[in-house]
Amino acid sequence: MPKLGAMLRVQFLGMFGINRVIHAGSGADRIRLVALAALFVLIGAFVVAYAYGMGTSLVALGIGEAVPALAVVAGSLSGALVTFLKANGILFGARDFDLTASLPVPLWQVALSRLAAIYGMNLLWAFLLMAPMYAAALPALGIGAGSWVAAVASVALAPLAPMAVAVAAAFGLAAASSRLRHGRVMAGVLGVVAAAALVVAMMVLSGGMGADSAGSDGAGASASALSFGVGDSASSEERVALGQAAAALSGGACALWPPAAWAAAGIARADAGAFSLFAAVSLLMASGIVALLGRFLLPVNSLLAAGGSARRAAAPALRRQPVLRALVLKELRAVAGTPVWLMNAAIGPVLALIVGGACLVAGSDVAGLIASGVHLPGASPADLQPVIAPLIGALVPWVLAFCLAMAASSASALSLEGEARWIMQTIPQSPAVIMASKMLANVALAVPAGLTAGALAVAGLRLGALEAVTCLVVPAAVGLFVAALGAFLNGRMPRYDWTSEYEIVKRSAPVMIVLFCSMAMVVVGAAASVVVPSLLMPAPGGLLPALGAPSAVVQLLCSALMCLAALLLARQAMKTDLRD
Amino acid sequence: MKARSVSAERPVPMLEVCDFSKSYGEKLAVRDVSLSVMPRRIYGFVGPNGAGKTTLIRSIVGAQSFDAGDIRIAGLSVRSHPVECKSLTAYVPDNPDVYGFLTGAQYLAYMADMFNVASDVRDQRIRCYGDLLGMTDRLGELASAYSHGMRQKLVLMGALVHEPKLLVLDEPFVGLDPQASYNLKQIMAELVGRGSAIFFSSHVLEVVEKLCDEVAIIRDGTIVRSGPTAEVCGEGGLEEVFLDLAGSAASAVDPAPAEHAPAASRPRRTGRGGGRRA
Repeated sequence: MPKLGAMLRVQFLGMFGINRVIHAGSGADRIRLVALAALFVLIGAFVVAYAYGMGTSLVALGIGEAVPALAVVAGSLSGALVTFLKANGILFGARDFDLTASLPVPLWQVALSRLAAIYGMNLLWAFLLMAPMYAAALPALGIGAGSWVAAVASVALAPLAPMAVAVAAAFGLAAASSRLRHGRVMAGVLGVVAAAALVVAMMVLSGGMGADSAGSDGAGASASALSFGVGDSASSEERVALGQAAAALSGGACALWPPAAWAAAGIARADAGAFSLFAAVSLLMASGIVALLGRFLLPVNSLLAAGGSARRAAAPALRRQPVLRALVLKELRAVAGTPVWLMNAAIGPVLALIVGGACLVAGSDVAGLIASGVHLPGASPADLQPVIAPLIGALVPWVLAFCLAMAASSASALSLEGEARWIMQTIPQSPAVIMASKMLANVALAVPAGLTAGALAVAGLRLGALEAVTCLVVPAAVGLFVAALGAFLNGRMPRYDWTSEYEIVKRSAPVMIVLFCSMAMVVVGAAASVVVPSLLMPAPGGLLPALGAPSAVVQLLCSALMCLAALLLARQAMKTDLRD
Repeated sequence: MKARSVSAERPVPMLEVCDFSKSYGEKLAVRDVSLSVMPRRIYGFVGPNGAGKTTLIRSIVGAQSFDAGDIRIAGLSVRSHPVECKSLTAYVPDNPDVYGFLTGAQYLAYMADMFNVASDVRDQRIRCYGDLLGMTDRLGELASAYSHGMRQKLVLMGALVHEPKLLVLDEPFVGLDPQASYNLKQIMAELVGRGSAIFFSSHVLEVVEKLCDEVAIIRDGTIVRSGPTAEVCGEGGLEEVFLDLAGSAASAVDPAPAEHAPAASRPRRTGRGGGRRA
């Protein structure tokens, strides 16, 4: 099938702008690609370390048998998420679909080449997540050669069935959004709600298990235990409790995704029948989705291309707007009308509002709630509460800032002009005004949410005046910094030749650099807010840092530095030459 | 903003390109091109694919930087007064990519805002051009739902909403139905009648010959023929001149064309009137 090979090659060359760098890239392009690759390696190393730590923790708890199931669930979940996000733009609504569909190639081969590109990404994630877990746990289980083969095969098989489910879900969402007047906005909002619900559910689950650990059954603390490993100081009772928690987690995961249980039985207990069932279901579902897409890819894309309601719609009255407001409004409409961009830009502010709301609801009990969710060997929640309480005022602003660090719509705003950039380039407005509008749109998305979340936290936690100010200033400063840094980087690294918005919003260099820098900055700022005051003014006993006002001063200094950096970056961003 | 002084004898050209050069890396795309378009004139710009037409056009409208020379619009340099030049100009690209997330009306309002068009004026112009191009009852729909031709009409309306002094069109008739093409020609004539100038490229040589007061033929980044349309076309017509120039270019590259080449690709040596005329 040389044609399939050629299509696969094109898909591969299109990934990460590889072909552009090979054939037309300047030295700067190559440096960018190397930097991006280095960032990916860094993220990959973090994922590998985390997965390996999780595997060793479970072995230490004496439930290494749960690892295969959890590993398959992790590989499956990542496959489902990546596929769901990438299907729209690669399978459906791709810019080059008409060209590809008109080639003398069976449509199932077109579908296969596109799915293969997605599967390649899924396989990478599955390998990064599953292989370290297996490496940490399987030697301890003393499994035979057959089980090792099954484990290796499970890495390749785990993403297949979830891919099929995710493709169907992505198509359903795309079809709904194409048929409704505000369908794309609704799709984006649904994505934000789903992502926020996932984060909140994970936090509640962790907190709930932590709370349980404080109870008589002791079946909790999985979050801290699984994340940071089990300390040698853990008592045997605690180990039993943690083991029960992890086993419950594994059981729950298998109940939600039965193929994981079949794969686990094949690997841990050498159950060839169960593993064959897992392999057969995975391969059948993958083949089925290729066959279905081969049959329905054309009508599906036609349905999506048919656009919104068939009714004709005349223009409403056209109100005149000042230039900057019109530009910002257009940017906000662009964010709202691009589901993956809306998801990326809005999830941070939404999480900040959830954190602020949680502070308001929990009130002064928040330290107790956090204490009950943290498991430290030999320390009860009652012991931890007085340690945590003074940290709240110092860290809540940074928690909100961490959420807003994700909201960098400006990092992709310029690239997403794409083929329509001639409009931006030819309107009689200076690049400074255009870039300012992109930053202001980002600020409009992030800063009001940060201020509202801060105000909610202040009201709920009844903080002092200085701490209240930091709750408002720190998130706002991070919002400004992220907006300016995003515009600055996108101005220097624009990429207009994308085929799907996903390429820009999810994996472009400016977005990844902004995310990495802003989160690192938040972590450093949070650490400085706690460490610097306790070093300068150590509290009696040396255990509790003397926070309060000194910490607030450090936070305000950090905020001032961020605002200064934002100002400098914004000025540079406004000098961007928007011409090709 | 300071325009060049206008002498009583010679009005300022609406568009003036002086010794324009642009290269992409080591490849020189356009070399020392000079031309000028006076008010109330339609200037045609033709040439084979890859000759440098779009490169020059994108530099005129400010979408692309250039290496040497200057471009002046109503006497103002696009280098020193980019915003002022853009406020006098409107551009219709060869591929009408617009913001798909906006409705047609929102796109037009956006363009009107950018060019500071008063509310009553924009309403009147949008209604006028919308009726003429058959778009009025479709402007409430998202642009992503438009066909190629409808997007082309939308871009045209956006270009005309501020009554540009210089209208730059790159293949404006591609995708338009016959009625819309006819209407566009009428619109162009009326706009020129009101004192504007039009600079447009097209491969439809009959239209260029019919509409344009002046014409320039560009080949390999250099203008090889320019002047009043009647002078450039002579008796044989623009297609004849164009094909003769293409033939001489091909023979300069390959003096002995392969016999197995398709007949249409071989340069013709039939002389004026002896070729294939549409």
